[in-house]
Amino acid sequence: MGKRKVVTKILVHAPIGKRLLAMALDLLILNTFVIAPLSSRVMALLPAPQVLLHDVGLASVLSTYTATMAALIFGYFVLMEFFLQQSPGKMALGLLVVGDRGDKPGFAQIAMRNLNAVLIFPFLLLLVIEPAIMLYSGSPQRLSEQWSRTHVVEQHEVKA
Amino acid sequence: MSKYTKAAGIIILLYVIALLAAAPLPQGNVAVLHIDGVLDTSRHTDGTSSARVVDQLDALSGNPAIRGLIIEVDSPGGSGVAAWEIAQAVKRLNITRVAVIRGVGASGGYWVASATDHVIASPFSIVGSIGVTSSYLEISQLLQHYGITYNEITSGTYKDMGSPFKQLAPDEEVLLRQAVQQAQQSFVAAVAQNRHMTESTVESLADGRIFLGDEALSLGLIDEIGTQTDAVAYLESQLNSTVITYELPTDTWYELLSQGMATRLGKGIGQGFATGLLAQASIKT
Repeated sequence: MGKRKVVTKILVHAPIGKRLLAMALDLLILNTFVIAPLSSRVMALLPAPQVLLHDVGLASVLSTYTATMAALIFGYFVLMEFFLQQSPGKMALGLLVVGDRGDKPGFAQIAMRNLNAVLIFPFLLLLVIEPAIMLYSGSPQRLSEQWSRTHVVEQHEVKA
Repeated sequence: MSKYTKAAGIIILLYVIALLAAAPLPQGNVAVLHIDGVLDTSRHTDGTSSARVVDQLDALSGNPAIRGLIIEVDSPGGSGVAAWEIAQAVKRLNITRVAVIRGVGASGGYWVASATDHVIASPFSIVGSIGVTSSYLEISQLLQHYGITYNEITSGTYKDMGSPFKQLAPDEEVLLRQAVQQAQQSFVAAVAQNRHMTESTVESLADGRIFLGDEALSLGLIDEIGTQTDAVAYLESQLNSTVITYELPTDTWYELLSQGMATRLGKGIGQGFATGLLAQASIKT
């Protein structure tokens, strides 16, 4: 008679190094594929700042591009994490986004936890504030993750 | 459907959205470049730097959205090399190019304007001055007056030609005149080619004379009397589309910061002194 193996899956908060690496991979994908058509336009149009001050039309065009890029970056993380519970970067490193009980988060939760991906003021401030708070408090969660009651975890299997 | 397929699907979806978002947004399709003041090869000049202008123009050629170029010229010329470099860069562009001569489009300034497809000037613009000068400062008599002797050991007979500390020898003057003449011929040939005129016709106008816009028009040096509005109208007729202009930058951040009064004053004195003393046999258009 063979012994029956019991596999217990436990979720632990992902280490900060893996999270940063996952973010770097996502940024690479975003830059290479998702926002490439817009960013190339912006780079082609981008004049010296003093021209922007004189050319209101150009400034408004660039603002529109920037806002569209911000929406695409936000959409990338929200869609990926809502449908797959992980972005491609997290996927590569085996990270998962879960709710407080290890459950699949809802759309509102996902949207809220990704407010830092909206690269427009005042959400832009989160990019600075959140890492600072994480470092200061030692919390494994970003501020917007605490608000949305979500966690970035990695799954470990314990065999008994 | 695997999670990888879903992830790829989302990326493709967002990419398509980005493409669609980029397409209808208004974008400048005609660049406006200012050629102001003295033309210089240096990147750090109060006039127009050919190095920077060439960079800008070459960058335009890689932008498929740019279909036209308006060059606003207000320059009396300057370095022959700078004028030639800018004119070459203008001609390399495979788009419709128009020059609008504002106050002055003379000498090298005119050379640049002539490299475009259509030259516009106001009735009062100063156009032409096709010619080359070479100047040098000589203070040998001043040195003599103060009992100062100039001695220079050179590796060749003409190595110190144009030195301000000695009189120009007759054979040196001949050499300089030959260089000026060669530069003049190149200038004339370039204008003749650019304006589809014969070299003899341009040669007859190339005695350094200036022309006002109306006369320049009758001589074939320009194509139209008008302003930038007429340049836009010309481009719209040529491109068969609405023109949205955007200005190419003329100053860098560094220059904006360094344009304080003290900096400009010090730079002006230093440059003036250095240029006066060291402008040995430089070819100017």
